[in-house]
Amino acid sequence: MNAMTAFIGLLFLAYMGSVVVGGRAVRGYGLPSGSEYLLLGFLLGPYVLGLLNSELLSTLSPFLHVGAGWLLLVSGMDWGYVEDKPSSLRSVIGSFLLALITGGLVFAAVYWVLGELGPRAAQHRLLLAGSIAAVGMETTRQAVRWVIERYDAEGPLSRTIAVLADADELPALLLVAGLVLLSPMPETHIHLPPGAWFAITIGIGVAMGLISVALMGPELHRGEAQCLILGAGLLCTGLSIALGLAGVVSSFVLGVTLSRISPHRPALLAILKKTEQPVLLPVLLLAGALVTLEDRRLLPVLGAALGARLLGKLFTGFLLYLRRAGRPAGPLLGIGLLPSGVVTICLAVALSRRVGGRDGDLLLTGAVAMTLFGELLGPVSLRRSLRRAGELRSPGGTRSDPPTGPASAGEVLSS
Amino acid sequence: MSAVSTPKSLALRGVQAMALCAVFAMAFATSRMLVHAPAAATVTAVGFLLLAGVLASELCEMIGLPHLSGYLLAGMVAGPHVLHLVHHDTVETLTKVNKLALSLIALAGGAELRLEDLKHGMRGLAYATLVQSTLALVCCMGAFFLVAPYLPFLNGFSVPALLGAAGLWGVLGVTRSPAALLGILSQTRAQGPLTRFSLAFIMSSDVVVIVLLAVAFTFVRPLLVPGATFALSDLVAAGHELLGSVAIGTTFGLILVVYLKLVGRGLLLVLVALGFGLSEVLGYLHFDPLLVFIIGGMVVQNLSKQADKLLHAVEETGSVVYVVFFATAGAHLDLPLLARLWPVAVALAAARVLGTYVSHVISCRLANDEPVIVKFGWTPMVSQAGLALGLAGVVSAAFPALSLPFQSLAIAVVAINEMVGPVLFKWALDRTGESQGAH
Repeated sequence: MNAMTAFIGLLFLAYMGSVVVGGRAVRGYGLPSGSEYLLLGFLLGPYVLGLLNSELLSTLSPFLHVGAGWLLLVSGMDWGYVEDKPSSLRSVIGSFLLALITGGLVFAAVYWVLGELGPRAAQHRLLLAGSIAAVGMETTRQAVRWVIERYDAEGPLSRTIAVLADADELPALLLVAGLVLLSPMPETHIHLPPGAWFAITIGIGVAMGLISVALMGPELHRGEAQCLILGAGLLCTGLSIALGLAGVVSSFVLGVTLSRISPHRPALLAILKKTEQPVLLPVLLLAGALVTLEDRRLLPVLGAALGARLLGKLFTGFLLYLRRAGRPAGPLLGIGLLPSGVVTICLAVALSRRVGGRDGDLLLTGAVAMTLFGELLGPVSLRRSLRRAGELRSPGGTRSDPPTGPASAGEVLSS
Repeated sequence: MSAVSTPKSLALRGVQAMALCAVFAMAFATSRMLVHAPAAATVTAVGFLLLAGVLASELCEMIGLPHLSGYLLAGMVAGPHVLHLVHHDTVETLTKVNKLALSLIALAGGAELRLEDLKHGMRGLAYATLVQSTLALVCCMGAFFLVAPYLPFLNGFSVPALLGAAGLWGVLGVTRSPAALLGILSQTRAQGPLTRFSLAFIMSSDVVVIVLLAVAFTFVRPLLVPGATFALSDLVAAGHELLGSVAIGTTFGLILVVYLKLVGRGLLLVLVALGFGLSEVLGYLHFDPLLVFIIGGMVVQNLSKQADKLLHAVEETGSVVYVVFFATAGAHLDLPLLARLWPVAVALAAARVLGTYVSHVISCRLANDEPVIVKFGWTPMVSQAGLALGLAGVVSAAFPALSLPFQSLAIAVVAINEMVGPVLFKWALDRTGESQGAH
C-alpha cells in the first residue's frame, strides 16, 4: 500500500469513525476528546489488525506532524477565551502555576522511576521525564466544555474550571519548546545557544501571525484568509521541523497572535473550527496506531505518571474546593480535571519525533494512556461535582439545543 | 473564494509588498541555512507558495492582472530556476497534490454547466468546436511545419514524418485550460454570455482533445514509429476511455447526489478523499479523471437540486486549490528552457493565437453568435496549463523519435500561453462588464 492510498484510506476511516462512533444520540461540543479514535487507531495498528504497519506509519508521519501543528494553531486561536470572553491575567497565571505543580509532580515521579529501572544518563532521564511531565500537566478544555455545554452548566465553579482548563496549556507548550532543544538538532550552517532557538520558536509564530494580520487588512476576504492562515501555518510547521524546533509551539503562538491582534477573530475562528474535525480524526488514529507495548518500562513509568498526575489534579481540585464556589462540589473535585486530549496528543506527537527511538514511543504511549484514563474518570466526575455545586441546569443532559461533535468515551460508558 | 469589494489603500498595498519581501527573505534564509530535508521542504513549500501566491496576486491586482498571474509569478520566482526556494523534487511531490486540485476544479466546472445554457448556445458551441478542432489545428500544424528547419531535433525527418509531428503539435495546440478559466471566473464571479460560452466550450474541449489525440496517434504512429502499421487500437482505447469516463462520471455524480441529499455532512473530507482516491484509481484504469469529475459535477447540477451545496463545499477550498495549483505550475515552468527556445516558442504561440482567433471569427459567423462572443470569445481559448503539459508528456513517451525536445518545446509554448491567456481573458471579462469588478 503506498502512502497516497493509505492516506485516502485513513480519511475514509476517519470519516466512517466520525459517523459510526459519534452518532446522533449523544453529542459533545467543539473538539471531542477523541479517545474512541485513539482506540480505533490502536485496533488498526501493528498490534491488532496490522492494517497500519510500521512502514506505513513512518510514511504517513509528515501528515501527523502537519495535522498536530494545525490543531494547535486552532487551539491557539481559542486560547485565553472562555465563552468568547477573555480570561483575566490573574486566572491565567494561577492556571499556569497549578499546571506546573502537576507537571512537577509527574516529572519527579517519572525521573525517580527511571532511575530505579536502571542506570541512564542524567540528560536522558531529564528529557524523558520532562517530556512525560509536559504531556501530563494539562486538563483538556474540550472535555470540560463538553460537560458544561452538554449539561448546560452555569456558575462560578464552571467558569473557573473552564478558565483553568483553557489556560493550563501554556506551561506545557513552553516546556515542549525547551525540551526539543535538548535533543540532537538537525545539521544547520549556523550555531546558536538554546535560548536563541527558543526565542526563534516563539518568534516564527509571532512573525507569521503579524504577517497574516497585516495581509488580511481591515476587510476580511474569506478565501484570501483561508490561504493566508493555511500558508502561515504550514510555513510555521515546515520551518520548525527543518530547524529541529517545536512546530506545534510555533503554530500555537501563531494562533494566539492571530487571535489577539486580528480584528476578525470570530470570523477566523469560525473558518478554522470547520477544519478541526477532518484534521483531528486522522491525527488521533495515527497516534493510536503508534502505541507500543513492548517496553518493559511502560508499566512502572505509566503508573508513576498517572499517580502523580492524579495527585496534582487532586491538589488543584482541593484548592478550588477551598474557595467558596467549590465547597459544595466536594474535596475530590480534582478527579474531574483528569481528562487530557488533543493538546496532549499533539505535544506527544511532536516530542516523540524529536526524542526518537524507544523513549519517543514510550512517551507517545504514555500520552495515549493518560488520555484514556482521564476520559474514563474525568467527565463523569466533573458532572457529579458540578451537580453537587448546583450548577447543572440540565442534569439529565437533555439540552434543547444539543451541541455538535462525538461524545467522550467516559460519557458513552457511563450512559 | 474572494468576493470583489472596495479597493485596498496604497498603504495596505505597501504593507503587503513588505510582507511579501519578509516571507521571501525568511524562506531564502532558511533554504540557505539548512541541509535539504524533503518532508519539511514540501510542507514549507506549500506554505510559502500559498502566502507568496496570495500576496503576489494582490499586487498584480493593482495593475489589472488576474490573480492567477500573481500565483504563477510567485511560483516562478520561488521555483528551482530563479531563487531555488522550492526544490525540483518538491515541485514533483506537489504535482500529486495538483491531482486533487484539478479534480476539485473539474468538479466545480461541471457543476457550473447547466444543460439549459448548453442547449441555448448549442449552435455556437458546435461550430466553435468543429472549426477550432480543424482550422486552428491546421494552423498550429502549419506553423510547426514552417519552424521545423529551426528545430534541431527534427533534422533528418522525412516530410511525412514532419507532418506526423506537426499533427501531434496541432492537437496540443487545441488543448485548453479548464483550471485557468475557472480560476479567473472564481476571482471575477463573472456572469453573462461570454462566461457561459467559455464554460461550455472549454469544459467540452477535454472530450474533443481525447478524440483528436486518439485519431492523431492512429495516423501518426506509422509515420513516426519504424515498423508500425496503421491500426485502430488507439481509437478503440479512446472510445473505451471516453465511454468509461462518462459512465463512471455519471455514477459518481449520482452517488454524490445521494450523499448530498441523505448525509451532507463532512463534505470537505469526502471531497478530499474522492479527489485523491478517484484520481489514483482512474489513472490506474486509464480513464480520464478530468472528464469524470466534469461529468460528475454536471450530473449534480442538472439531475438534482444539490448543486448549491456542492458548489459551496468546493468554494470552501477554492482559493487554496487555485493558489497551490498555479503557484506549483509557476514553479514548474522551465524558464532557462524558455530563454533558450523563446524565438521559436513565441512564433508557435503567436501562430496558435492567430489560428484560434481566425477560427473563432469564422465559427461565430457560421453560428451567428452574439457580438460580445464574436469580439471576445477567443480570449478564454488562449490559456494552456497542466492538461497540455500532460499531453506533451504522453506524446513524448509514445514517440521516442520526438522524445524530450518535443516536450521541452511544448513546455516553452505552454509557459507563454499560461502567462498570457489568463490576462487576456480577465481583460475581456472586464471589457464586457461581465466581471463583478467591472460593475
